[in-house]
Amino acid sequence: MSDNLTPSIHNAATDLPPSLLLVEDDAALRSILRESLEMQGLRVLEAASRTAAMNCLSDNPEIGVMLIDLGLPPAEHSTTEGIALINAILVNSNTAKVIVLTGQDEESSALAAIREGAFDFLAKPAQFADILRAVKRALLFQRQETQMAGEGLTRLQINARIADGLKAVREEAEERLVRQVLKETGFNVYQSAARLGLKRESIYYFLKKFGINRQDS
Amino acid sequence: MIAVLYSYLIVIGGTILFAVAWLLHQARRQSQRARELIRLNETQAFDLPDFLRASWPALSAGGFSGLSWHLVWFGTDIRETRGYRTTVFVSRDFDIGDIRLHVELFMPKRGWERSYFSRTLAEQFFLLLQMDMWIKLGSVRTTFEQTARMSVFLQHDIKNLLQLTSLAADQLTTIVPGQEPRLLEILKRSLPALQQRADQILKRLVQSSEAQLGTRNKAAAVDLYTFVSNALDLHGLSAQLQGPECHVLIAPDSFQSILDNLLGNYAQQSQAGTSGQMPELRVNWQLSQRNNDTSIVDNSPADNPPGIVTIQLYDPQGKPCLNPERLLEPFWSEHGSGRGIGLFQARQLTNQWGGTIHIDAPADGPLVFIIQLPANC
Repeated sequence: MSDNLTPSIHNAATDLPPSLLLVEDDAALRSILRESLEMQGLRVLEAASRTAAMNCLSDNPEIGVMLIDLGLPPAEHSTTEGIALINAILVNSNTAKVIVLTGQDEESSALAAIREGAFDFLAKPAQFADILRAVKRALLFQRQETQMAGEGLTRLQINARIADGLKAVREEAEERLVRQVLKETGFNVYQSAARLGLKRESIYYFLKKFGINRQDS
Repeated sequence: MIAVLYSYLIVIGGTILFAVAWLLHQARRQSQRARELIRLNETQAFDLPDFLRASWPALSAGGFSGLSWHLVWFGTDIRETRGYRTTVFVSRDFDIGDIRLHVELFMPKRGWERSYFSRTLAEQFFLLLQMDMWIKLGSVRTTFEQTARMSVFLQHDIKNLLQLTSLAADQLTTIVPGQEPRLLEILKRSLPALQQRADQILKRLVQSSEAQLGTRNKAAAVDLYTFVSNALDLHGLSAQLQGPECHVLIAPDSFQSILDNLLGNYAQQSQAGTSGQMPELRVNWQLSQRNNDTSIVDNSPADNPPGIVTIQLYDPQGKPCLNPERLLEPFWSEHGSGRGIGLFQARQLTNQWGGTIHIDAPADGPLVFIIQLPANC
């Protein structure tokens, strides 16, 4: 833990410290966690609820890693808000890395978080070294995947139920890919079609099929 | 010929009248026995074993010769008999949760009409037994649910507390060179937060037990405007406050808890909404003289509180409440994840201080909380 993470995770391209969004409803815990992470050279933004987190992400699109508590208001004692937040984050970004740090029931929370696409899961109370290791790994993955995206490669993560067959898997992959490309092109249908090697009509077809609108992207 | 027919008709009519009068008398007697059993069950606090043991005199008076039961009460076997057994009996088996009961009521050999009334009384007795079982199981289940919910809430708080402590300890054991002054600053800020967190947990536990056990602290004259303003600030809410100068006669801790529970609901609702905008609430109050006819301040700890303050709290932009009857019900939560005890606790505390909380939920308007408390006029 004593090795400051800045050199390994510093974004050389932008010369900015790596950013992280911390979503935790307990103000005292949020404060010490933010300070601890900032001392490691990270830029930390805070949110206390799902709504605040989504607003923060839309204002700071450069944030690719989130450390979130699952028990958020108004349902602090269940995982519903946290799971909904993971879902909302990952629908908009394939490269976002969500680390869950929660005091909820470990087994069921971990399963739910992983099912929604969380990158890592830590149960409270977690050692700071473990939190930092998870953050470091997430930043590394996120940076590499962003780089891959720049080279035209996108890593997709989908949950497939074997019994649903190939069609369901293909549709989910299609939806994720189309959403991702639209987000990267700023909802430019022409550019998205070009990137995906499709006609514009096909993009409009997917927009309608998956109910994607400009706000989503 | 007709005279003979008349005499027969008179005899038949008389017999019918006698029979009807006798049947009515029997019905009234059995009805009386049934009422006695119901009252007895109430005096035994709906406790099944106690009721079984105490019911024999009433059953005996109702024409039964014996009562026998085999009760498995949460794993313990109890077999008892009263009176004597006969070959004529009615029996019933119950198997509900951890309670099993086989009960037999014996009757002497006698006419069908007496047997009919006894069987009717037996059915009423069985119904009471079944009711006692459900009451017992319901109360056991509720207690366990309450304990489980409280445990979940405490776990959440204590895990956060542990996480906070763990982070502080980690920072101390692995100080990054050159960051010492900053670490000191972090600790200066986090340690009071840690203490505040522990205080909150303790306060929540104490308030919960106070509300349940009915204990209370010393009353004080609390300035309503200042107290409500502070509580609103604490929850990040804003409101228009309107009312005359008023001092509520209540312990500050209890009043704080009542306001926290009421205002916390509005804060949570707005956080759950998509906008995240806090509502602009209205808090109006008015004072009135104590009316001797009202029971509102009869329970007040203050000696002869001179008046009552009626506080109305509402969000003018709020939507109509769909299930107002559930709001003050313990362990009912709108979003399913809360303890469902906040508003219930607010009502318990208000009642303890001689006040009341009512809900006005018009079909086409926002929900209004009406709180009445003893106050200085």
